[in-house]
Amino acid sequence: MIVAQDLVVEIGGKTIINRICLQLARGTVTAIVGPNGSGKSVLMRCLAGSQPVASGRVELDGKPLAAYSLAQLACKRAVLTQFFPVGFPFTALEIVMMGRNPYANSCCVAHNEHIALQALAAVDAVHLQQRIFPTLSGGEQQRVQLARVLAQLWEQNGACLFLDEPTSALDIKHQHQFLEDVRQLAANRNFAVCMIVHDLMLVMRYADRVALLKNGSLVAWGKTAAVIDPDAIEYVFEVPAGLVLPAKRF
Amino acid sequence: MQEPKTGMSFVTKRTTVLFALGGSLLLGMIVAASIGAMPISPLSMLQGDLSAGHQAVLATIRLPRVVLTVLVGAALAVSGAAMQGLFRNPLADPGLIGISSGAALAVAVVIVVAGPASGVFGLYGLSIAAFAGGMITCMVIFRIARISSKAASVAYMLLAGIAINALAGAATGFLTFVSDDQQLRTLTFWTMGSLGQALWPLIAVVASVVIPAVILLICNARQLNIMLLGEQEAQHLGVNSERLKKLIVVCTALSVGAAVAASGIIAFVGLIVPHLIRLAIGPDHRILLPASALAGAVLLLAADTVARTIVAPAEMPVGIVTSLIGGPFFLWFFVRQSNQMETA
Repeated sequence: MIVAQDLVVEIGGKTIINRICLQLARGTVTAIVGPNGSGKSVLMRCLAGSQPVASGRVELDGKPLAAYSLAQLACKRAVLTQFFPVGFPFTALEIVMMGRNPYANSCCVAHNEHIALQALAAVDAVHLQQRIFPTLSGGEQQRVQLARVLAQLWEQNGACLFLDEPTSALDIKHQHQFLEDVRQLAANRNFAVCMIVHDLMLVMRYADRVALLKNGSLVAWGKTAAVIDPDAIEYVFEVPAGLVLPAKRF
Repeated sequence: MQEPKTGMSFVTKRTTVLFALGGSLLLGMIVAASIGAMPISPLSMLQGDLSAGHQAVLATIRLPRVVLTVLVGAALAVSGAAMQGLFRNPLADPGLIGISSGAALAVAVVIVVAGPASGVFGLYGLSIAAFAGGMITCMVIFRIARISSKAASVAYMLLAGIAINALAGAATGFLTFVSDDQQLRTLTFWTMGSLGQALWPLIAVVASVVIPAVILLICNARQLNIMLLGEQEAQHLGVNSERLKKLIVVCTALSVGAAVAASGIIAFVGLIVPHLIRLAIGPDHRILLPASALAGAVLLLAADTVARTIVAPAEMPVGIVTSLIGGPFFLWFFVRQSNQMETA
């Protein structure tokens, strides 16, 4: 379980995250939702341990994140960021194999490669394995990177998975396929999943809990059905709720 | 063009490539040692059947030069490959963060301001100056990159390097401007590179710096691969990217500093060799780094052999030859590669 208490982040003198308390429980999928620039990615980086905080603390299983070594953390949590600036002609399989880096000394190459291929299969991308990564389309690149993150936690139980807009470039079929996989990971392997997703339909379908952010503050935090409510959505996104929520809710 | 890599495992591929390059390096060393003003037959060299004169030429002139060339070629090529990986830019080379220009400035200062010296400093003065210049530049760049943020970011190192390059270039230019004819000639020749300085004591020093640095870089090849995903991604995958960045910059600065100290500035090897290897076998640093070391040594051996024989008894600066051989070859390879890409 990841517990964040009174997180404050300041970047360039501006408060980006303002006193946020949050828990990511194992076995649940938590979605961070909010408008552009509301601090979603920064909050996720805090929870993943890659963002220095001005005050407050983040603990994983009762120990502060800083108390873990990079190698220990790499076996307990994986992070998918939004951009993939890979300029060198690695193949897709080589990229996914990088996800096995934390296990390079403990598992043999054949075993790691086997896992990498399974991870590619999980995102429906086995056929891309020998393609050159920078030449893939945006959606294909995203699937390969998703496979890398899955490969990193492949044989782990109770790990944490952080996904920053994992479905932004995927077609509809792969969006649902991937998020269904993620939900299975949470249910069957007791993962704590934390993802940033803009599509509220996907959030309502796949997230157990929602953290609603506006201007760096937590507006609401709790079970999806309770948080995604027309008034809160209108307040946070400044659009009529009817535009973004399914009609049957009204 | 898609390489059918599935049939060949990583280990087989690495062994094949490294054996092939290692073989050509051995062959190149024997050929380079046999060619010169006094030709020595490679066959009798291998049989150990040599006259006293031949032995003397081999031990005091040819072999030291061949060994130094191999060391310098390997140092430049590996450093180039590591820099390109670190800066995630295939156009980077050790000159980019100003190490070579810092070395050049220090040499210019010694030639123009200090003038000719005697004794040990007379023999090794330029080498010592070049090495010190390179190291000081490296430290300055680290300092500047750290002022702007707590961690030395790659982008700031690059910008600092460009500024240092310009500054050192201006200072060297000024010293060139105020130098007399003899100083100017020494300086110009130094900046075009030469491997004629090969003496065993110098080689011992260069080897003791270059070999550990190159081995250390090769040992960190897997981590360097991960860095290409991005610094933050590498951290998430358990790579201490701060430590790795420092290690790479220090190792390249040491080996380039030593190479430049021994042979002046030899252009192009650090840029072109990693490219050729990458085009041929892919970007994986676990193969790229050792293969670049071997290929860099082979290329520089070929270039130096041409440089010292083509206008014999005079000697052409080897930097001219590396650019003359390397440029067209690189273009040909590149055009061939992109043609294959289009037809596939």
